[in-house]
Amino acid sequence: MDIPKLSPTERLILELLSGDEMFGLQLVEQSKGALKRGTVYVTLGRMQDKGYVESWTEKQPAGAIGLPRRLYRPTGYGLRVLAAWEAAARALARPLKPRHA
Amino acid sequence: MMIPGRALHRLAARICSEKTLERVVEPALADLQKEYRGADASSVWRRAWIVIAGYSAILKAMAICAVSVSVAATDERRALIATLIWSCLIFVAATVLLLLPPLSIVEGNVSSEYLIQLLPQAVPLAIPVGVAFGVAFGMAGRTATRSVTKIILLSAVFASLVSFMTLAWAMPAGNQAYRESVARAAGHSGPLRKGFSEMTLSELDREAVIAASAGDVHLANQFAWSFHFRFALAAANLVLAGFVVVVGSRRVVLRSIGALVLCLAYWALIFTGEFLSVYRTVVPTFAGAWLPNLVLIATAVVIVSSRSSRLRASVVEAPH
Repeated sequence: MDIPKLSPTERLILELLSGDEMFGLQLVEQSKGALKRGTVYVTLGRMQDKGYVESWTEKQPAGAIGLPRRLYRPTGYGLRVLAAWEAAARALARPLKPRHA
Repeated sequence: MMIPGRALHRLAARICSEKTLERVVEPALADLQKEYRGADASSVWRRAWIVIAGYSAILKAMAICAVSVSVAATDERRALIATLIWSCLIFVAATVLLLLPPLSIVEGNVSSEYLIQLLPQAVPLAIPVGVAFGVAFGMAGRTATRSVTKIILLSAVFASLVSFMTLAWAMPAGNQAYRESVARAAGHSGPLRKGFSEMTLSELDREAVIAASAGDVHLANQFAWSFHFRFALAAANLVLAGFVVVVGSRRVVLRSIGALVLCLAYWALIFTGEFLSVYRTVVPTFAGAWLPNLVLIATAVVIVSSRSSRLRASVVEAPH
């Protein structure tokens, strides 16, 4: 079985989205410079392809001008991948015990 | 209320896939429009900044999608990487070669100040040489697919923009600074009168009008030709890249010879255009400056149409 890959940017997005659903620009603002406006939607699109996030357009009031914004939230699978990666990171960060103590 | 992004949305709808439009362009445009509506209407600068930041983010996203989506095949990626590496190497070599003659006349040690001042005059000439040979070597032995051609031409447009900015602003300032530095080192003081290459586009235009009103047709033509030539030379990157991609052979030797002949032909056509428009005044200065580009475009069209008519003939004549 292939282990799902999770880049640092994807991990950050999943961490930010695990609190609440957000728009792309909100993610950029909340990331404090780690996410860029020019790449956030490319990454979100890729994450949607992988099944980590799902998205839908916001409901606009009648007569609203402009395009509707897109909201994002993590899927159950995305949260499981994040949890697995966090567990792996914690396991690797633990100091090694000597074998023959 | 006018809302930004409509033109970009129409453009994106034409050139992007449905998926890219829906997932990348439209959400980014929606953010831009929301921010624009939320900004204080009286703050023109704030709104201008929102539009610039939003547009550059969307264009960047579109470029990333164009490269990652359309260049899926490994061979195409290899061809583009090879083209990029060859273009950079030949650009650097051509820049060094073009810098040597002016630096050789400098007495004493060559300072970094001279190098910085001379670089802008070498760059606009070195870029088209790098582009022509880079595409020729990088694409050798490979067929230019539609997506590779599209990316090479987009890169050539970018190279043309860099060339134009250098020709319009950096080269005149650099040349004049170099002449003044050399004059100062030789003990001369005071401002130096600018030559054609030291003038900005507005100065060339103004001098052409002054010379024409004074009745000096020859001088007016020289200023006008220099003015138009800056635009034409910047566009050369796109013309040369397009020519090599469309017309070039698959064989590396033929491509290399072709690129060399192409650069020499372009160089000869520059002088022909200048001669015909400035000294003989048989063609307008605009046409004289654009002659190399026009000749190459016409040649490419003739070659491609004769190839396709030969192909059609062979299909018709093929035994069933």
